[in-house]
Amino acid sequence: MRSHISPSTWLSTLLLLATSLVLSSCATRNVADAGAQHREQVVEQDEAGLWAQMDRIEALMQEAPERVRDPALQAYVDGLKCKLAPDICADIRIYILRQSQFNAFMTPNGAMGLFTGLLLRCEDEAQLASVIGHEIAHYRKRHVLENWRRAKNTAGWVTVIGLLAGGSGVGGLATIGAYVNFASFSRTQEKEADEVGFESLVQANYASAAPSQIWANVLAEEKLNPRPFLSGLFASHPSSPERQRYLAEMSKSPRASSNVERGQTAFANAIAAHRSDWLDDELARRAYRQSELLLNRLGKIPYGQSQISHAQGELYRKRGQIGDLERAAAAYKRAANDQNVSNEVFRDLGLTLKKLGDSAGANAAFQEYLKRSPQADDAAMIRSYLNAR
Amino acid sequence: MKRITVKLAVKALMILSLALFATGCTSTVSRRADNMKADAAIGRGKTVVILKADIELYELQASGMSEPRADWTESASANLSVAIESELAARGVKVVQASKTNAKPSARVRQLELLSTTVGNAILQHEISPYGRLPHRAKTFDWRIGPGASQLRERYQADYALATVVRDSYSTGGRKAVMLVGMILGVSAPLGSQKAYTTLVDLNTGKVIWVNYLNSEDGDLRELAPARKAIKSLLSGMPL
Repeated sequence: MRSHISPSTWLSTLLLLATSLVLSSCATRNVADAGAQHREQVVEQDEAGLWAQMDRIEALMQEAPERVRDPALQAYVDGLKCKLAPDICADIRIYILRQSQFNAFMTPNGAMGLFTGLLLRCEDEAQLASVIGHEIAHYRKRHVLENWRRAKNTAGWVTVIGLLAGGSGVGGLATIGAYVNFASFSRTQEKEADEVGFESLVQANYASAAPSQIWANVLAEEKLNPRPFLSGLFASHPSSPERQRYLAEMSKSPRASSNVERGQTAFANAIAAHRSDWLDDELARRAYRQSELLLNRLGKIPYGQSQISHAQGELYRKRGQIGDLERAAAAYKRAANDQNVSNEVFRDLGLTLKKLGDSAGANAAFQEYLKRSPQADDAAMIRSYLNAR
Repeated sequence: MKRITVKLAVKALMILSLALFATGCTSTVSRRADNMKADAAIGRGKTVVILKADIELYELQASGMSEPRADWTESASANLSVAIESELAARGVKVVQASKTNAKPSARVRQLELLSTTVGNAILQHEISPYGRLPHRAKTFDWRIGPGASQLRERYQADYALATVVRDSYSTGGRKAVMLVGMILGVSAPLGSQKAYTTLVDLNTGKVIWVNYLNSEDGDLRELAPARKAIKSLLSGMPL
């Protein structure tokens, strides 16, 4: 009688052992913070590879048609970056990208992407600064590299377990376990970025409640998301109650609570020229319940209210549910009463009143539109509405 | 006893087939514009601009994850640039290297350069792949980058543009060990491969007149001689 262990099992075991020896040689270690001019210290093979790859992606970002090329807005966000991280300010480059989602990202080589959907959702400079500070912290802590090294090792084990499971049929659980482990590491990094970012926010004297506020606002919107599983936002970030708790706690610390700087006027001026475009992008998402919540919130902030009222009118006119035309007309009228009203408000009010059967009101609005912008592209069409019976 | 023997035989067979699969094979798939003869050589005396190639080389980790390698990418870029230029020059074509022209291209020109590779990728998805066929493209090969081609023509004073994309990976020790375990267990764990494609655009019409896709398991682009060989395969059948 031969041994119960078959030669193939024996060989597999030996090879598994050999493999695990190879794998364990690349154990994870903590990476040191990135200091000033870190680019010159990028010598290790994996980090150099990540940087070179990101440099190529950054070149695409520089050329991207979606990039917002406004020297004034760029100077504004660059100023915030230097205020929050004076030591590594020159190593960070910010790209504003015209995308309607709430998102920001940091690449390992120091390129930061800010989506216009995020800028639209900020209420003041302190809130924007809290996001920029958080992203810079990811760079400073070299989280992408840390993640990469960890993933290499974790996934290495998953592969070995998966290969063995291919023969024995106990695969799934180990794979899921390794994956959850990986995801929770990433949450740890998010928390670290929250903490480091908060520190820089306090140093720059910004209102310490800003991070918890922006997060609460985004959460409220996300609750109305009809397809939450498609949103990547919550996959990598700490669970909401947990995050709410520690962000609120941080803002109450004695050192931070005296900070009051909001920078509302500076922020309002910086985004004013773009806000209408960004509001159009927001409505183009056709996520009306979320947009309605967002607009109601932004309408309460004491700047650019006419823009918000106009967007509310557009939302209801486009959505077209029962009572929406009346809501739209009311919103346009609110916008029209503001001294900073844009000319198009009168056209859109006219179109809405026309649908509601108020031809006298529609005519008055159309006439006001033509008086204000007689050279508009659609002036001839609006004139034809005036003469129609 | 008997069962173990059968199992071993099956595994030996799998290892054999894997080993055969692993010994570097190279395959190419190409498409050319309708009415273009197989032996067409339309490039004599014409100028071709070689657009900056999109190249990335990776080190394949034990896990199967690909780690980008800056040093390898750099040497492969240099090798491919030399190889493509001499391959074209041998065909009597005048060559302009986009990356060596002085002024930085305008944003519009850059977008058109990127479009050339994007269209190449779309052809792969919708023409070469059997899963992405577009019903209205059943009969003719008609892909173009649009009227913007004239801007590329003026920028580089060229009749044709050649855009190349390369992704290539090589294995680490860890990956090789995983492959061995995989072989014993009859599970495939490839050791890395070379994927590349090149798109030739007629800058007078904006039409893509030829594309070629290369899928190879050998040819080390980090060395000049094998890089020349790879480029020979990639550019074989080009109607220039």
